[in-house]
Amino acid sequence: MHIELQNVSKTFGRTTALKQFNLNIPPSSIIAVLGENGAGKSTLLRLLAGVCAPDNGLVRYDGAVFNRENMALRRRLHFTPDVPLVFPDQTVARNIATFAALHEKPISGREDALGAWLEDIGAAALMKRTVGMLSRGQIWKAGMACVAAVEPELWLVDEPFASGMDALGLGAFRRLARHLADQGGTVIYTTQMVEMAAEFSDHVCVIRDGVLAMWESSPALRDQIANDPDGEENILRGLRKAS
Amino acid sequence: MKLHDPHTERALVQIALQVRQGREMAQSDSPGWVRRMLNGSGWVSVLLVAFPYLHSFPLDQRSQPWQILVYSLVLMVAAWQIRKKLDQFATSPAHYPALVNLPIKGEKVLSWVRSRVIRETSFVTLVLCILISVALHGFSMDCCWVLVATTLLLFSTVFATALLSRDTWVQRSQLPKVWGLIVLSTVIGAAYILFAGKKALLTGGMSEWVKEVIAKACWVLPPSWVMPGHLEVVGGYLAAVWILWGLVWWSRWPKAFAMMIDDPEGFFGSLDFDPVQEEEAEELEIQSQGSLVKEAMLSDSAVAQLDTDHAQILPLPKPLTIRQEGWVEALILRAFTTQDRHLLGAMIHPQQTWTKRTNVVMTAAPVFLLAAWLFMRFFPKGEFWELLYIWGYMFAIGFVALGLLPFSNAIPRATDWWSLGTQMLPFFAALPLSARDLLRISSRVTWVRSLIMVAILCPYALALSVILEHGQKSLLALWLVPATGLFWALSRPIFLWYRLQAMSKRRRGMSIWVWHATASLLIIFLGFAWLILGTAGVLTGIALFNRPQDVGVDVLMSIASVLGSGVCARLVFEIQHWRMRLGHFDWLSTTLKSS
Repeated sequence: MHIELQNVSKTFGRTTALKQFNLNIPPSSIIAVLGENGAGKSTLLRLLAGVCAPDNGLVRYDGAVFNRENMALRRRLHFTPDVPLVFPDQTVARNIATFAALHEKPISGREDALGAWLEDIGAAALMKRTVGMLSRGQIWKAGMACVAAVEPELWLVDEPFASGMDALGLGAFRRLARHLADQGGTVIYTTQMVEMAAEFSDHVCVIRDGVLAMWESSPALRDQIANDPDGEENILRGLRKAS
Repeated sequence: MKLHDPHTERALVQIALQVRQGREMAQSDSPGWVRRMLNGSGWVSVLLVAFPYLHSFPLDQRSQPWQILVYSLVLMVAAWQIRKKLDQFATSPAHYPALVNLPIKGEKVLSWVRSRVIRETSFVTLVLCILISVALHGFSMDCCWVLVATTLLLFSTVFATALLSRDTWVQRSQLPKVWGLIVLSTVIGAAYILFAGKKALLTGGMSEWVKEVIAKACWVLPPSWVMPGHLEVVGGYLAAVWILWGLVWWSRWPKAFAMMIDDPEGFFGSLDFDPVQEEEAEELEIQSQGSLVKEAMLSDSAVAQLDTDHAQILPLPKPLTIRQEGWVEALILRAFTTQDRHLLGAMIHPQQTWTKRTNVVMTAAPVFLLAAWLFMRFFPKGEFWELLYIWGYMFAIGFVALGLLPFSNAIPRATDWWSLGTQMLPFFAALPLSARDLLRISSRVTWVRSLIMVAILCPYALALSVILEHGQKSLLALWLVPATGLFWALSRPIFLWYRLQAMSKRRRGMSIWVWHATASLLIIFLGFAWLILGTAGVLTGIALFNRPQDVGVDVLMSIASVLGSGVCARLVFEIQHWRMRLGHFDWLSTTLKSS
């Protein structure tokens, strides 16, 4: 899915979260959105998910202007907030089936692949558990299992590396994200960890004070981290070279 | 600890410091006298409503039941405001995390919350009670102690009602629902009076039976128990019990809810879910970890080739939908396509009590009919029996009608809130559900349930009226019930608009305030038109029996009015939907709004 943001601005009261934000995201890629606390990362994700509406500017998916009521576009994306939204009084299995049905993605014909993903994510052991009784990390695994069933063309994930998932869950997140990107989808996730962003992404988007401070390929970013002793901090500040 | 409301954050930090220094409540955090006296626009509206009723009509021309009803409702609103303030302080997502993190015991914090709420709300409540007390005694100051006593009783009843409205027994008795219905009926009645002219309020302007219904309905509202006419009969005793019960609740409240702050997991766990069995959780976690360790050793490409027995994982259960054990649920499901059933499942809590409620009503209806027949055949005439007749008639109609009327259709889960730390997100916003989906599903459920209501209530009301010898008026049921069902089903878009606007948050900014203002004015206009047309359409049926020569015209006018009311309701929804598409709303909220 090709994503384009044109002069997008968003304010909350007197706080400006995004200012005249322009971004062009190619399909089949994993994008890490990097920034300090309060830089506007989550706001960007919420705008892309339709949870917030921009004050100015447009969000386009494959050239079509996006608004939350456009269900044809809405079904193609999945938003995982920092606590994944699931039906808490239902089992993990029922959640997976429900999300697949809501996104109109029938399971039949891909049972084997889905089964493998559920095993990989660690959701297989949780299938009969009620989501409301799970730990935060387990809820994330349940949320990822729903994503595996939906296979969205755009997956928006808020802070997966601060999700409380164990290393195995995080490994599964990487594999699932890469799988979706290989299928032609786009994965956009937020993080504050520079090294993680550089290591696991195709492009890194750095936001600083609501403005796009840097758009860089991850190999270039890894170079900067390797060659600059203050590389990580400078990247968060949106600086390409050591000051 | 960072809150979205800096005033609250400052206040809570100040309280924490005071408690640590042993100067608890030494200084009040003054929000300013104007704000303290008129906390919230709700109070202003209540006062604005109360004043015209106090001064509009000369004493000798007042119709007292109507007056008591209005005053009682004003005081009920006051009680709800107090309750709302308690909730706002104690459980709103913006405040709750701070309360949990304060270095004080929960009971102490909630005691402070209680004191603050009493302090902030007592002034306006007292003023209201004084005004109403004076008005009830004909603006005469001759007997001051009666005025003082009435004021104090009214004041205490209001505070008792504030907490008792959430009491388990009160909830089980469906009283809060009845209160809501009385408020709705009064609004509709007020709209009718606006339409028909205010002479209906004057002596002789109101039909005797309406006066009788109002007089009886007032008894359901606790503040009316201490008003003249009620206090002398049983009202005084009822009020005394109510106030004492309320006092117990107010004194117990901090301790009862302290667990919410001291042990939030235990508190919320006990409300929604069974407590997690540690051993079971651990065992499952170990199993999960075991399989994951094995998989972690596999390369990325190897994951797709996992040779796993998926029999335990798949097939998946059916997607969420309502359970169809009951015949009402089964009938409703038949009205939906497969995809819409999934949407229905995502919007509604799966366990519904529609069939249970309908079956209870269907069992009770013949019993009521038999009781009515026995009453008419065997009981003598007299004042007491007449009173019993009216009470019994109201109960027999009210019980069946309330049990069948399709309340809160189809969207309770869609309007549930999902917590993102200090912010909340309605389920609806994050799921691939459009507002049109909500409307379609919700309307369809309402239509089916309205049809069921008409099919049961129509013959029942007719039979009851025939047994009670209402003569030709018995046929009124054949018009009023279907007309009400039609009005209710066609009104669904406006109820949905209410839910949507309660869930969303209007964007601010100079660029769209004109949109907000224009849309608000249009919605107010259409809302009034909806209510007046709908009420007139339903009540025109009464004219059918008074003017038999104009039946054709009356029927046409009535149907046109109800349909017109439906068009207004739909237009309100369309305005909201159009603005949603333009992006005038956000879906994140920092305060929990009741929708």
